[in-house]
Amino acid sequence: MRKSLITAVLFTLFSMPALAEQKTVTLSVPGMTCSACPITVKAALKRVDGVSSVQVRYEERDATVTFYDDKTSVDAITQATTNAGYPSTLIQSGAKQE
Amino acid sequence: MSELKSESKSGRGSLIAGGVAALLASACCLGPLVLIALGVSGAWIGNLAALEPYRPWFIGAALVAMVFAWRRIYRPAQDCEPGEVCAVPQVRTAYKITFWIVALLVLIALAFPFVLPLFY
Repeated sequence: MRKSLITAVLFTLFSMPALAEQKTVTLSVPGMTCSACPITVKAALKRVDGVSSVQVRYEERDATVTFYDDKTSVDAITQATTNAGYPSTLIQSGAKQE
Repeated sequence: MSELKSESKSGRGSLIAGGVAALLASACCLGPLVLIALGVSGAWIGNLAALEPYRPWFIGAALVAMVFAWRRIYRPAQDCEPGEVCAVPQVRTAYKITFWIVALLVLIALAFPFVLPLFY
């Protein structure tokens, strides 16, 4: 009885992330040329509902964004950086993660 | 002519010029960050980046203006003629406070490119 309960709990825990699928994309942000820019880009991306993590690389002028694809889209994310003053384009669409 | 003279004696013109120059020097890069933090967004924010090449000029203008303001406000009191700004203690204090607020703006404009990379 107890064993089956533990199994059920573990099964629920491990199967939960599969319900909400996460996607990672890399965006090119060519306008990110000043020292404050990466912080602005990161802040703008984090304000988008559904974005779970943001990595901005200043030297490479790009941003790697992980998001729940049922909540937001690549278009919404590039729009967010454009509205912060830094237009971006999709350069790489990573594999879907669980 | 006399109006112009009294304004240059008070240092108010220099303080305003210094403040505007400091804000323009920060606008290109710090502007979008402040706007985003306040929840303001729009593609027009991208136009602020056009100010970036003029940053050294704005900083130079701000520093020159602040030197003039310093000389007007922190001149020894015995040099004051009756009726001048520096002769009235309360006005003097107000100008000193304003001076340091503008000085802070200039300092932010100068220092943020070196401080912000620590927050990446």
